[in-house]
Amino acid sequence: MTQPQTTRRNFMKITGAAIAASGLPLFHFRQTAQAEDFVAGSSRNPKKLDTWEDLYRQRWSWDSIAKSSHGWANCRSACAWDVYVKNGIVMREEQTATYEQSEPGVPDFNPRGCQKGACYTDVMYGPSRLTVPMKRVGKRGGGQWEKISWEQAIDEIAHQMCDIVTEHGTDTIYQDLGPNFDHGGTTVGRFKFQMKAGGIFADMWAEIGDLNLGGTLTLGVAHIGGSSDEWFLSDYNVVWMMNPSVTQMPDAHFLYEARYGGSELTVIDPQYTATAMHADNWLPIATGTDAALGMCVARHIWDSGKLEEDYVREQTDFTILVRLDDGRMLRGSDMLEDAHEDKKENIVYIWNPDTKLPVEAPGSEGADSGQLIVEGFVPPIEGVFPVTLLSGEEIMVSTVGSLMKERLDPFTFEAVADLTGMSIELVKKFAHGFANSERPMIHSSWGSNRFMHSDLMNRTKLLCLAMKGAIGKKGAGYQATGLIDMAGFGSALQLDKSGIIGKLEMMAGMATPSEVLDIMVDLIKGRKSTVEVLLEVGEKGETEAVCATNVSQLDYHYQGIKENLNKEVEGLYPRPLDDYVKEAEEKGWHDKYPRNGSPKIFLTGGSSLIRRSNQTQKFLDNIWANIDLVIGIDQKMNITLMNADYILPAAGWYEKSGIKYTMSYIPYLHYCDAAVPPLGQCKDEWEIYWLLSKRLEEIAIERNMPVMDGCGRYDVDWKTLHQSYSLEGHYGAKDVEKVTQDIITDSPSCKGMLIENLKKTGVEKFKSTGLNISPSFLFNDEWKGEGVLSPFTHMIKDKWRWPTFTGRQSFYLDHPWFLEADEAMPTHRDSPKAGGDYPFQLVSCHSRWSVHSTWRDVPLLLRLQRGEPALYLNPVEAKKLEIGDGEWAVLTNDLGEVRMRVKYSSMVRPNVAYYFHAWDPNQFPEHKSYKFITPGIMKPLGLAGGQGHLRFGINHYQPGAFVQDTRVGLRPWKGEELIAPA
Amino acid sequence: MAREKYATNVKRQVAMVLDLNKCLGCQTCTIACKKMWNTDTGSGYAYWNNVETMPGKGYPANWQTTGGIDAEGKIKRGEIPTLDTGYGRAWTFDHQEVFASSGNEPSQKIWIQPKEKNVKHGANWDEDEGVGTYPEDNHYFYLPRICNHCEEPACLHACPRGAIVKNEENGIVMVNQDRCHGYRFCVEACPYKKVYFDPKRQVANKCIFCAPRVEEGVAPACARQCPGRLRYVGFMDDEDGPIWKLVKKWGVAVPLHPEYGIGPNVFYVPPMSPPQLDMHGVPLDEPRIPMAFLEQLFGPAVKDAMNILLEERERKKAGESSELMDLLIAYDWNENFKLDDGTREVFS
Amino acid sequence: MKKKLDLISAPTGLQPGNYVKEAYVDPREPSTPKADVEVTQNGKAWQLTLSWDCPDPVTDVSDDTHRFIDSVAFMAPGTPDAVWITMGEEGKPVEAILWRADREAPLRVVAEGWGTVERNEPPEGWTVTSAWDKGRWTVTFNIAEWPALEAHQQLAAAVWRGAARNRAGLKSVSPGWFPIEA
Repeated sequence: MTQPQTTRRNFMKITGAAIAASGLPLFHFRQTAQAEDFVAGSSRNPKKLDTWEDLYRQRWSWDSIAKSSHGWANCRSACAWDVYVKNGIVMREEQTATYEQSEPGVPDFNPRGCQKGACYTDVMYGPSRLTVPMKRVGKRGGGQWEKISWEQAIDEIAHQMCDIVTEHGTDTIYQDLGPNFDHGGTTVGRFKFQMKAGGIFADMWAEIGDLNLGGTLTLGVAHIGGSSDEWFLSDYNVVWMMNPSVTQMPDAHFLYEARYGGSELTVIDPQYTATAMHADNWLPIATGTDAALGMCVARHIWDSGKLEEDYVREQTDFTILVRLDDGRMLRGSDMLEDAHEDKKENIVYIWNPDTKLPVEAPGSEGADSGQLIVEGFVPPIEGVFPVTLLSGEEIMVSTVGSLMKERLDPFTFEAVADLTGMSIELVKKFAHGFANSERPMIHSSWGSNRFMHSDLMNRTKLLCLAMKGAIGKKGAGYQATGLIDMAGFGSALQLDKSGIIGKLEMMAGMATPSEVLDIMVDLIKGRKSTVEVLLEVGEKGETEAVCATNVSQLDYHYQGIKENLNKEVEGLYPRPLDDYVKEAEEKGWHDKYPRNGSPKIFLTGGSSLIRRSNQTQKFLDNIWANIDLVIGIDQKMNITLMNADYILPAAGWYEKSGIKYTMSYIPYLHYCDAAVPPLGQCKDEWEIYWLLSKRLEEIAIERNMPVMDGCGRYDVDWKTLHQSYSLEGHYGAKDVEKVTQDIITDSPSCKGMLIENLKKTGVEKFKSTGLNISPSFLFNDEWKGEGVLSPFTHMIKDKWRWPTFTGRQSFYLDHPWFLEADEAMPTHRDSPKAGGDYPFQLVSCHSRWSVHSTWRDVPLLLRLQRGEPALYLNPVEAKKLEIGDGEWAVLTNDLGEVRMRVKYSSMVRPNVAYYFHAWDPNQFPEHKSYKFITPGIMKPLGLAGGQGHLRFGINHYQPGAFVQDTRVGLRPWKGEELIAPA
Repeated sequence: MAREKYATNVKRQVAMVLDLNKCLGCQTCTIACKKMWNTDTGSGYAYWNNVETMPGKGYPANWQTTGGIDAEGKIKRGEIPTLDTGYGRAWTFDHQEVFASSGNEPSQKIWIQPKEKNVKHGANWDEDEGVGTYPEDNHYFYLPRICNHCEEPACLHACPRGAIVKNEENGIVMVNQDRCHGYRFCVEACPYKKVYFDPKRQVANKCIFCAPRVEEGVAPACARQCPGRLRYVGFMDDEDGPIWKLVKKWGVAVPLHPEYGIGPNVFYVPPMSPPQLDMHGVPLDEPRIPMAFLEQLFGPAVKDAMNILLEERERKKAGESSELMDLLIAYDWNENFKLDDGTREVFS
Repeated sequence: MKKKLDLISAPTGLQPGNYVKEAYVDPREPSTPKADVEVTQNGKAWQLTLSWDCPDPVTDVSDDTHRFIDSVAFMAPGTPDAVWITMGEEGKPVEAILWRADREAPLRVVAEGWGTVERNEPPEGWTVTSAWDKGRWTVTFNIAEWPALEAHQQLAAAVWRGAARNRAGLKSVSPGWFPIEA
């Protein structure tokens, strides 16, 4: 059946002549070899020869192979796996390894994978696996459960949910958007239910410290990156707040192979990491001083004449004029009479040295042209100029470039060596290497966003790159991974009806006919890029069609940590934190959800909210204690489910259809085929929510429940909830694969892909980066599935504006809050002492041994660690404290005490207490993890909004809860009083 | 007393090269191997393939000094590592008990930890520990180890029952599981401590270089599953294959402890490391991993191997071509493995 | 018949391979210097008993890698000239019955020289009982029928002391065949 190609986005594609989407070369998947034994579905059972060698041969045998992956793992990778089934049991897994070299001269991607993917079977059949629905007996968290039927579970849950929303409203339905996220039908089930039921989408991107706010502030996008084989092309790789050997295993080889290709590798990390060991230069930087180093490098680039002036002039805001009297950019409102409000606020200026007058900068939010083309003169990067305002007043303006130069001035080698705790020679060597490279590339992971001032750090890194003209240059730039757009995923969430009618209705809901007309005009006139138009529609959807908020803000209001956080932030910013929160909410920059009190219904989706929450006890005492109904939907037990009311066992990852979410690192679609049926009574999430929505609809009809207002943004009618969920019966309970196929079909990036083929190959290379609908997604319209994927190259080539206020890479943010806080431009700020003034900084990294909490409690992997959570200390420090290797330490700060075993490691910087994250509290004495004493400090500026790209958005901009600033004291603990009973 | 030579009629020798400059320490090899061959109860502690942090005690602890060959290459009585302090027992856990304890008073909650309590060693106990003073010269690196499938296997010579055989077709050394009576002289004798004893089955076992896969032209699981792409597999004498090129032609891969004198067939490209800093933090010309330590592990030939590596890297940096660098880059991963002509490492 | 046996340490110099003979150089004090043997015959049936001092018995080795089991064996020549010390040779086999402290049933052993030992489950009517008491093992084999012993009327005994890491050729043995006198 041919799907009608008239989704909202496709419609725009048709109307927008600028989008070249036709005439794609057909993609050919080259099969490199065919050994009949290893084809998907086929078996290998060697003859029994009755010799001892044959015992070994028998072990390498199987009944069938499924092409699958760990689609819900929430790792920054995707890998194709052959999953081997024998006697109905998944025995083992091995990488498929059929990726192609992207282009001559770069290594291929094979085989990808990691040790965790190689033993998902140990999670699947592991000791915490859940297989039957359960209901708690006795008090919540009491550890007592009874097994119940699915019918009973769904019926009881549905009745309680109807009661609760009737009393409290649907915006008290809380669902964590965290791990267990894929791009297939099961996650559509989760999200669609949440959306149609009127629940809130509380985004945790910034709360967990994964959101690159520096990226958002500078480029207007948080997720920046191409395919990982691009790393090989750089001549100067800088790993700066990333640890690819540990957190990016399938891709790390490109870095080390780049060294053999002639590239130099610098690793900047307070720890001598598993990545640093392979570096040509390791910079043992003092914790949290990375921005100072960046400022120093930027200063050196300028000083040494390596500034790429033409690039900077065109692509950055260095030429934009700033009023010297108030620090605001010169705006339309300063210069234009009777202009449209939009122009007054959103026109900015550059200087024409010929006419000695300010000229409207093309490409800004209010500009007529969406392209950064200046004709007839060369705007200066530096200078101070007089301007006569509309009012007749004469003021002086300067360029961002001039201000930046002044800003950089104090960051001399001497000053920065002092700040960063490194020698002048080492800092110089790095600055020199960077400034003199052709294609500098900075690798900065999601984990680089966990300091309160990570935004400043990442802004300085981007500054260094911009000054070298590296952003948008093939083989250079910033790598933090982009995402390939799966437009079909969004469509699947929003549709109420199947087929063309549903799609038209969805479109009508998102954009009025006149808006559609406006969009067309914008596109045809070249006033806006298609990317930008789509962004705007996406943003509109987020603010009008979804109850979107962020977890940090929700916690701030309801977790009982307001006072703590206010205190943590005290003195760091001009005003108290709660002033910022109030202003942001009054001005509608960041809406508060739930509107009238804390969440009442919590549906877990596989992420463990209790494990993850900072100040965990407060979370338990305030948010958790006030939730009326906790439904744990997961494949395995964890601390959150231990404190749930109902447990619904979810199908494991080899037991359902899905799509690994779409990292740009590996630009292939990874299909997850079901190798075996769900274990025990498990069901996939699509089916679970199908059943739940059905029962809810029945009860709503029975009770004649009124239409509810959702979160105040749209009507929610549970009497048609299941109609909407199932597209009026179009999708059945067991139709997850059908939903997944529809997602693929509606995603231009997957043009022509069919599950029936993917079941045989596991992977297929994307045909394009899609329509780049969300700010999180990768910006590259010109990549069509061929060659290395470099982000932003088309921006540079076609000179489309960046999705920022000025339309340029932005190093000057004249938002009043930023001006007031002196963070309009990047700078270094000391890491605040969160949790109190204690000698050790509690620093974490993603773990080698788990993907978040999955695999964390698997015996097979615990045996290759210490069996328990470990706090890594430099042996010299540990000995001073009289804590032996393997012995216990008490971690203490203003929030309390927790206990961890100490592991000696010479990699750890003195005064750092280092850990690898995602241990479940049930792996600690008293079930208390380091999260209990982690404040999760909030950055007030994260609540800014109302100006260009400075606005709240899922995956875009939020206040965050930063953990790396946490301080602790340490003392030995001998363990006596807590040894658990025999 | 010199050791007697094994009258070998091995026609071809399969071998492996591991490039330590690409090792992530991720242990995918360890898990790949474990899931493939060692899932039995009695083998819970056993890792035919392990990755250890060097410098360190390694796995089993102190293997370098407890084998059956001394530093002069002479036979000495070796030790059999114990589970608790040598290998590290396959710790057991009781998750259900932990979940059920959730309602207890905080101090009475049971947490997930080895039931063996206060464990002392494990297969990766030293992970990332290393040595040296931060930040001047602290360092460590990863050393993945499998059986060396030696020319003159110490294990084979130690078995009074002739239960250990070196396959004529490919030189793979295996323990005949039917003949083995569990005497463990092989465990004592192997200077690499790469023979394991299964106390439940009362027989020894060891890395079989994934013989059933090799028979069909497919590389061992540890090599084929390695995301760091640091392993090369092929026949020693195949001048078109990666092993001959790296070991013989370029001399950039050297065996572990050649002084044991038993002809290991696993070779390592030695690890480069970032420069040491002086007491003021100024970078020096010395790499963090002292050459003396590498020589202790890989013998004197490691120095030349390192120099060749560095020289060829400089050539590539200068824009010249280098067959060696291209080999180590592994543009086409399939070419890391060459067992059967025409077989590629793709299963479907 | 009752007999006190003075045991010797089995010589290692003849053992196959290069490791054992060099790592465990002769001569060595036997781990078990003395044993008492008792042989009774009842028709075709035999009862063979060996007892010896053992202060540190090892009866379970299933939980660690470095522990060896206490064992004892009686061996009979398969031909009149079968060599004792090498456990026979090609064409001149020996037969034995072996007790391991971690097994209920004995094992039947045949060999034609070093390294050729084959262990099998015993024939019907071959059983063993064992007891450790006050620092002393007493192991009694009941053998319904043993033609080799009947034919050649000679035995040899070997004791493996697990605590001394005895196994294979590391054992205490009777210094040659000894005749059985009914």
